[in-house]
Amino acid sequence: MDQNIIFQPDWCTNCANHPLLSLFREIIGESTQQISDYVFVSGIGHSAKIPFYLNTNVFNTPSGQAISAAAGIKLANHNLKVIIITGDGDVMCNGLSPLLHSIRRNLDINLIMVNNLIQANSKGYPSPSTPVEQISECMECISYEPLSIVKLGLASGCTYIARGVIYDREMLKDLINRAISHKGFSIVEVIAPCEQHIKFEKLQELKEKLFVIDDDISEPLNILKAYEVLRDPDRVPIGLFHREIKKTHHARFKFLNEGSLYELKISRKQLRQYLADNRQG
Amino acid sequence: MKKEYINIAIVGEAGQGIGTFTRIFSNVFLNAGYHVYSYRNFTTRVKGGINWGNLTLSNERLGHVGDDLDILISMKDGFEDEFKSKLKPKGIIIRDGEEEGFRDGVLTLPLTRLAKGTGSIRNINSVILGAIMGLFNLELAMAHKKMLKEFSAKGIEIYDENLKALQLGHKYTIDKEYIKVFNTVNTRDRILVSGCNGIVLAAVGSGCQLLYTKPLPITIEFMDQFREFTREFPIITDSCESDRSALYKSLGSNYAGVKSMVVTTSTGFQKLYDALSFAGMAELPVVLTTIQFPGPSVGLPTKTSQSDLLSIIFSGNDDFPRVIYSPANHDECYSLTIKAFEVSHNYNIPVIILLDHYLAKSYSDIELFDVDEVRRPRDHFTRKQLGKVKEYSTYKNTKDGVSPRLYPGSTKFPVIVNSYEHDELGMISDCPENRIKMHEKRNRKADAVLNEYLPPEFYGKEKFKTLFVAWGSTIEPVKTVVDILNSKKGKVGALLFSQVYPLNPKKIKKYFKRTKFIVDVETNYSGQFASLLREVGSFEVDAVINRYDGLPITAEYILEKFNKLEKK
Repeated sequence: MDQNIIFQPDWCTNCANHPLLSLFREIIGESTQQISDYVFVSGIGHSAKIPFYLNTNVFNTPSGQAISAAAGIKLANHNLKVIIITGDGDVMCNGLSPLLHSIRRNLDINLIMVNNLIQANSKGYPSPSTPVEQISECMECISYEPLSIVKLGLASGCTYIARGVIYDREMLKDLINRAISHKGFSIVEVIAPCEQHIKFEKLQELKEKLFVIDDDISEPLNILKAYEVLRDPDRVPIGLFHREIKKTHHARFKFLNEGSLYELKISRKQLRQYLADNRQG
Repeated sequence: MKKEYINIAIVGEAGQGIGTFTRIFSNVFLNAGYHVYSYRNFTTRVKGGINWGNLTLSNERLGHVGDDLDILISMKDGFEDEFKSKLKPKGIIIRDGEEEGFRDGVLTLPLTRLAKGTGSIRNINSVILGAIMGLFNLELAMAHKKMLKEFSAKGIEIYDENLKALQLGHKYTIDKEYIKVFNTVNTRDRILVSGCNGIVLAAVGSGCQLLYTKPLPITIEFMDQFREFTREFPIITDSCESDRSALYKSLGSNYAGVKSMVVTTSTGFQKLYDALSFAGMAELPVVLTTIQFPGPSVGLPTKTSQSDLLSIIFSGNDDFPRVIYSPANHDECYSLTIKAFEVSHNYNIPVIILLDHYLAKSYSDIELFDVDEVRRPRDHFTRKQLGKVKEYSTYKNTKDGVSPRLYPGSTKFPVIVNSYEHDELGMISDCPENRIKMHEKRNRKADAVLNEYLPPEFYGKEKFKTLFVAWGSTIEPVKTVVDILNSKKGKVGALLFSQVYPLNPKKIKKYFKRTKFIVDVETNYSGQFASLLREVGSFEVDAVINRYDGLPITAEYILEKFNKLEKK
């Protein structure tokens, strides 16, 4: 067995990706869905390597395009469970355009964005979601308004938006399970700060800011309450922010009720007849 | 039967309906028994400024548009001045005016007055169509079916108005014998297609169920055509916000087991570079139609050129194989797309169909094909074989480098696709021995795909003294030039490339030894194909005839330049 082929995760010992990996294994194991029906899509980064250790289908793409690829997979075979697991650097840098366009179409795929608050691949440089003056030493690199995927989701009409933390496993598991069974685009942001590149005191400060929001905030009519809880920069709300049922993208095509595009094929006989009836000239 | 043809140009203002006119005209005359080739100029202006369309009619199949005009129709006085130099000695001009009559080769008809008389100045196109039909002694009934299809969406009154306009124009020219016409032929088994049509039909015939493209003036015809099939077939047209996401989606769909196609343009191709490299590493099939126009950057987006050959051949990071076809005409737009699906799915490599704007948007008639004869790419595992799979590696190292593809969910075995360097299973690896194995495996497919090599076609006299070299849309006009020169006791041949990459130097060598004078013909500034020939086998051309003003290259243009070369 070659030492250089990475069959075991190569994250730091105290990396949050380890407990996350076992959480996902548990979720898949307990689900009634056949394991081979899952397709995990990821990008570039450390959290994006989680899917390789789940013993099922993986589609790993270059930076930022996991969401486009996931859209193509789901459209081709909507009976597959398409779940994107990737990091905040991957989604928030190159991935913003595909993200917004997939949200507005309400594609039935799940995005699990593991937010370690920095770009760990780059040894601690800030990512777009790094909190202001909080984490990184590179002051000139930090933007003054960190990008929040929860706020982006709310503003774009995403139909399921949640945020969990690695410290509360039960709550996170529940949020992810509900996201997977949700019909439509679902975002679960997982706050899992990088213990290697973030100082211990900062981590403690962050933990103190966390507070759990009420479930009723997620009702569609309470959307303003959801915006309200996000306003205070000194508090970090976690829980389910928004959930509503809207038509998914593939539900718009009536013929997909009979099966996925993968199952329905173009009949030669029908095509021959169609061309004979409709030839131009 | 002697080849006869009549070249027509119609000139007017943008917004006067030249596009509609050329479309209806092409249809009607094909039905009447003429082979048709039409190309209309496109401008970025919605209204105003000069616009024109070229239409050629013949008793034999046509490969390209012509320059020298038999009939010049002017919808706006004075606009015809630019084209007068192209008029043949016996050519006629049809213009709008009250002084009705035919004098000194100019036929004046009260087009505006007649149009307004039917209800709207916009019906002027139908007046002109009627007049031309009269010139060719065609019965008006030949136009009814197409006019109904074209105008019924706008309302039955509009259709009636246009029928009346048709009649009025027809009356002025029928039985007057203003021009000499030739006999019609049997065109019943032919259909009118543009480059777009040919490609879409071939795609659907090959089993393609998804089209991913960004909607642009160049690409919407693909989308319109593809959407026609949605009513009856399990097909989806996806309008993407960027070319980049279009190709990623296509790769995702191919991975999941559904064939898809992407249509992009010169500028769009630049945006999907990384997706193409990913396709090379992931070893997924890609069928990518690219329509070229003059650049750099936005350039002339409504004109035509063959200026992205090199940037497309050498695109992507690091080495991975690909195949690039450049169809010569509308028949090849159809046949090479079928081949593109076959090759990309059987060898897991990107195949690019390289067109220019002219070929994509011009219309001609091709033979109606049999859908049952289309060879659809087969799945790598049959249903029976699926049940017998005992283990699976996505990137299994094989003799020819092609790893059989399973679709996710079709068996219990995971299918792992990876943009990192990976082992046979698909797991990330930076081990040097593994890297050598996998990189060689991917590039070995280039040798395997030579089985599908389309050698260049030789045309003209075997014992030639001058050899033309052409690719894509320069092929047809070059063939005409070869015929003309050889009919005047010339010793001319041509080497015609419908596959521009990879090239097999062994099949090209013999032509470059025997000749004395080699002329490369292409529509870009630097002679990109000439550079490619040098790169592939140190083949040198003696001269390059090029055109880079955005207009389509014609036989007359090539001949003019060639004669100047000969004098030197």
